[in-house]
Amino acid sequence: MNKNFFVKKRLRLEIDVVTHLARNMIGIGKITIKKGQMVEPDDLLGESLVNVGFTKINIAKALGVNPSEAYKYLQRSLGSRIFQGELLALKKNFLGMSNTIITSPSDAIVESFDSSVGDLRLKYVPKRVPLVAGVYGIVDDINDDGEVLIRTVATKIYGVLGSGKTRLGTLKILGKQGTLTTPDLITADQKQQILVAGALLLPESMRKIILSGVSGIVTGGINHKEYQGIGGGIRLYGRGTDVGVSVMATEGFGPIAVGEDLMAVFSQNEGKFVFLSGSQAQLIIPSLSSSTLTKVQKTIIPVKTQVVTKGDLPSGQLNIKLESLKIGVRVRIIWPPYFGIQGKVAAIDETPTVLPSGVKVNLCLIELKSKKVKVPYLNLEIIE
Amino acid sequence: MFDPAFIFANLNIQDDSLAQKIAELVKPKLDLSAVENYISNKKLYPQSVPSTKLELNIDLHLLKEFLRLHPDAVYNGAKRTLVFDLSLINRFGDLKKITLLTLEAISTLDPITQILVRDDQNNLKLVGSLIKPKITPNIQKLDIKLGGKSLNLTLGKVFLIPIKMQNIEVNLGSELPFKVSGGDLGLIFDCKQNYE
Repeated sequence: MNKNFFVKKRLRLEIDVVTHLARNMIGIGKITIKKGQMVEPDDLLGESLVNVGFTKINIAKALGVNPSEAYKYLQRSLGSRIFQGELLALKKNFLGMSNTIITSPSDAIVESFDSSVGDLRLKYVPKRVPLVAGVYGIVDDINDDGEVLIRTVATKIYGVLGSGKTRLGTLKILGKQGTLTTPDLITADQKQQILVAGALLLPESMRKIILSGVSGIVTGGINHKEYQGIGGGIRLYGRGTDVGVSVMATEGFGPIAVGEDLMAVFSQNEGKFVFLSGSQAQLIIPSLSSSTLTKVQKTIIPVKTQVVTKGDLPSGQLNIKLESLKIGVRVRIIWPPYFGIQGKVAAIDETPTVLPSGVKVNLCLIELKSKKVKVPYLNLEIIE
Repeated sequence: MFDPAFIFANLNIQDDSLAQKIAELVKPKLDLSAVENYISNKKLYPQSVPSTKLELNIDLHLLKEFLRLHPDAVYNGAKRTLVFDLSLINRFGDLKKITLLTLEAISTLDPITQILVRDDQNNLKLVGSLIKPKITPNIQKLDIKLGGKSLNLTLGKVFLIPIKMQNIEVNLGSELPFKVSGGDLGLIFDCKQNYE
């Protein structure tokens, strides 16, 4: 009788499934959509006001006066509103010729003045930020945190680790599957995009990505050091950390190309609007077909008390089970020297082999694209 | 049955010193980044097995660290036994290496400890014994008698004597004699530790 060899089976991809997508308000505002309403991508869910910060201008230095005297040159009272370019302070010089003027750098509120140093603090006027649905679907839940749960149809891709909150952007593929992501590949026109990188993010590329305004990046592998740097590594999965960009690795640590199963999906969906949840190591590609609403109406799914995007582990890590290895199943190799490569099980050895390491284990013959290799069965994962 | 994957699934990858130590200890010396990635991948895929001697070497260091933090995974102080599951031996390839590594990891082993192997049917088999003689300073060698035969052990080393006999009498200098059993592994005299 043949022995059963159990290996892990990991969920990496779900195509066109009914799922919940969380749309979160930024800042304080009001949700105007109602529970049970049908929505389309351009529909407004609500609106919020976001504080965009403040600035300080040293009036005393700019006017060339003592800090304690600078206040008398102000042309606006504290608490008043001022628009960009309007007169903020004025000092008339000898005979009214060549006056010194200071104008407001932006729309702001004149908040306070520090007479000890001569600093005027301007608080920028909060920005109105609309929250749009972004998908076809039905509003299933609205909670007090300003989060709207929309039942929609989407393709879900699960990575193995990641960091960062949920961000959206247009999907763009950078270069070839197995290449290193060098800084020159990151350009200014990629702002707010979700990039699919090659095998490894270099540290300097990571820095450029954060500075360039890219929303998120999907890579095959990431170095442990870089992962720690973006707040990952806490219980392996960086829960609750965000460095200004969302990151997801699909394979593991080190230079490993994005698996061909996922790369095919990314290629088919390049240019589409996607949601990347780094801490959940999940990329969601909503279906923008108008038939989505019909499918969504027919399928009810429970609203989880703990929303997926706020879970403790990346969703993909929750979807691992053990399964008996069989001839013909598709597998991915999860250890060197063929880490990340995918193939089909062609044969399973009945008797174990002693590896160069001295470990005795049963080997499997795996049919790759261009060759066949023998791999310990424990170094395989079944691809669902 | 102990699942060796548990060792790797519970690695503390936030501890940079572990990767640093391993990078310096393994031969050939490895790039720190490579070791960090290796350890992190081990946590991600704890079921994986090492293909090369170098990989096994790193895994053994990780095992040692695990045993240092969790000695009760193999050591029962009350019963004075070290029990190694067959799954652990199959995973790391060599009972002798595992035992010697355990001596380094667990400093609180009893002076006389039985070493056993547990199979997947939960049967225990005695494979040897560990003896940690009390060593006084200024002495370079230890005279012992093993089943009537005299032996001279240099201090500062660990000795593995392949003996399968049961109930062998051991005399350690002027101490009262006692009996221990050998087996597939034999008798291990740890003359590195236990200075008075």
